[in-house]
Amino acid sequence: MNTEGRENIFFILFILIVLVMAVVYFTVPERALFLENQIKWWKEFIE
Amino acid sequence: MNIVSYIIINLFLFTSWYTFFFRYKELLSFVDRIISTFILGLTQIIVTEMLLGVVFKKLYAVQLLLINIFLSSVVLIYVVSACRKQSESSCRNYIRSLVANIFKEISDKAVWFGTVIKNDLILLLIFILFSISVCWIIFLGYLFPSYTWDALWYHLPIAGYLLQNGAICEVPNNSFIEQFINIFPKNIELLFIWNIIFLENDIVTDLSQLFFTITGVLTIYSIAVKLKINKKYAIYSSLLFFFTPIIVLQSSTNYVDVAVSVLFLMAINFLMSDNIVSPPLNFPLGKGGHRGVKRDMWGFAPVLLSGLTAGILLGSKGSGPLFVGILSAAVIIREFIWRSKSSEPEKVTAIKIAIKSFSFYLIFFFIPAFLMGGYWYIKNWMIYGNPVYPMEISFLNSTIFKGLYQGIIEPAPEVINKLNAVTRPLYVWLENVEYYLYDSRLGGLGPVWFILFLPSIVFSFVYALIKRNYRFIALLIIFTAAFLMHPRNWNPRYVIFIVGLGALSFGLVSDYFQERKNAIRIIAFLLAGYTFLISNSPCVTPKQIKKFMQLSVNERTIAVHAPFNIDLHARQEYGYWMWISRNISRGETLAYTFEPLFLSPLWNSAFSNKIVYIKDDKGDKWLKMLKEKDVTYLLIRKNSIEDKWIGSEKGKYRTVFSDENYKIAKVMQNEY
Repeated sequence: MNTEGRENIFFILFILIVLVMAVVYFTVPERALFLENQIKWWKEFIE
Repeated sequence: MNIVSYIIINLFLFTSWYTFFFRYKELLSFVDRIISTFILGLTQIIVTEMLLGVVFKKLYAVQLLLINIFLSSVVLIYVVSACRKQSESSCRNYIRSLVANIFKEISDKAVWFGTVIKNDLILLLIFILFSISVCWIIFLGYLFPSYTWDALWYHLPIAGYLLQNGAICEVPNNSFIEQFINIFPKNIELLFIWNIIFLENDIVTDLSQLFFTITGVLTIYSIAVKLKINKKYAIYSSLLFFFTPIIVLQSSTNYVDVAVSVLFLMAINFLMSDNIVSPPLNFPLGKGGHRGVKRDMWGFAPVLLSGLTAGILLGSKGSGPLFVGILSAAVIIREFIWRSKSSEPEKVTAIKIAIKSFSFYLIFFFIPAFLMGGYWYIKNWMIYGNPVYPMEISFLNSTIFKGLYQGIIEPAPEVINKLNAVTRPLYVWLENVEYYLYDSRLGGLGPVWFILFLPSIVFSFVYALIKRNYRFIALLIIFTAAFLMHPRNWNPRYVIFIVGLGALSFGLVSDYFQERKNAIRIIAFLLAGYTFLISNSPCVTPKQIKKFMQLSVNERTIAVHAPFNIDLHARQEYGYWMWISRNISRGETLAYTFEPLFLSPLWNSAFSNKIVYIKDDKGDKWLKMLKEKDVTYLLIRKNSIEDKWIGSEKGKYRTVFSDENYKIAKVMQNEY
């Protein structure tokens, strides 16, 4: 496999890991409440 | 006048050091000179305050202003005279060309930066978010008083006591917190004082850490460039470092955690300067294949700057010795390797190299570090018999320094105690929190760290191993050692520096994936934008912002703010806090007779009144002590014994404030 092909594989692997990390991060049970609190903050700010 | 003197002295101080470093532009990059200017300016502030506070016991605005004008003038005169020796032009012409060159360099760099971000839309958007965030932090810092728990509990009282006494000295140990007020290292509190003493108010002192945040962003850029990361990705790395919720939230508080982590990063940055790392690659090889390179005449300067930075860090927090220890090991090892490479092995033995390396470390790193931060530890050793009092220091079951506590006083949350060393940080990095707080215990590093930086660190480590990028590996070892050795590494605010490692790793990854960078850049922008939107604290609500915008400067007090973090505990204190902030003026002495929740609100916003704890079992003696201390106001608990004593002294005390729990009485003049 040439260098570019190897880099492509690494790149896809990296993006996949980042996406998995994002899913793990955003599916933590407290995240919904966290976002709800932030939405409340912004709603109050815009009012 | 106060604002004018504050602006003038700051401009003068930092301009003089920038001009000084401009002479060494071949040695230090533009960004490193800005960082060096910040460090030398901070060094001057700390040294002059310590000189006035410890030696002369005259830590007052006028003296501080004069001594700093004098020192900065000396720096400027030195710069002009030293350069004039090399130039035959007249003094006026020389100064004119110096100023022109400085402005030209700044404008050239600004143009370059503008061109880089203009050609990269995502970078431009991230920079806009960064700029808005900084403006927002400044706005909130200006609008709200210092509201954080530790600021009110001991950071600001330290500043209050130093200003009250006009000296750096011990205060009577009347309460639990006063013991810590005495023993804590106080370098950053000296910066807080700098931002109070000329302005005669505490309005901007809560923005002190913002200077560290901005310098931290520059430091990440500088380290990234030294790692040979493309300058555009270095800018990405540095801006993404900023998008860490704990950094955003702490930048407008009187805490010291951002300062500590950024000082650590800055010290590492100086150690990475080319002229001390290794001989240049193009240097001719000597006999036996070694590079017989000699250190640049000014090669010690970055180590010296690193030593000064480490010293400021040493004197900023109790964890300072840990960071300085790690940096010391890095300096000695690096120096040993450099000297081994650059000397002829048949002529110089390893022991000789080790001795020389250690001597170099002692002179250019340890001594400046000790001078900048050692005072607090030596003072504790002399007074309490233990440099880190009240912590007990033991080794192999034998006590080296006696203390009151054998472990960390503040217990970890139960959920943390149940986890092991690996799962603890992961749990915290996943941020199982409902909101962010400036001292966020179970979150605060944000999604950029977890989603983007953590995988970047792993990839960069592997990449660095393959490419034998020893610089990055050394950096990784330093950061990892500091993280693993920190006793409370599960608490994000104590280990903010690891975000720096993540940012640098991201730079390396971006550099590696050059052709495919768009996806990574878009993810970076989305996460930065998300962090920008969610780094709001429940302590500063939109309702409170709108309310405070309608109030005059004098009315914007902590009691009016009633922030979420202290409200439940402090509600019953608001009445007398408000009265004190409105009525106690310069020269007044307020006596209190109980351990208050926070000491800070007993001072007015200029910290120009005095506070004194007066307590005794006998009324006569107590009343006599009030006279001796020239007390003008008394803060007492309602229906306490002191309340009865002053009640029996008809006409001598007039109640000026009273609520359900507390009473403030004015001592009438005719009493004396």
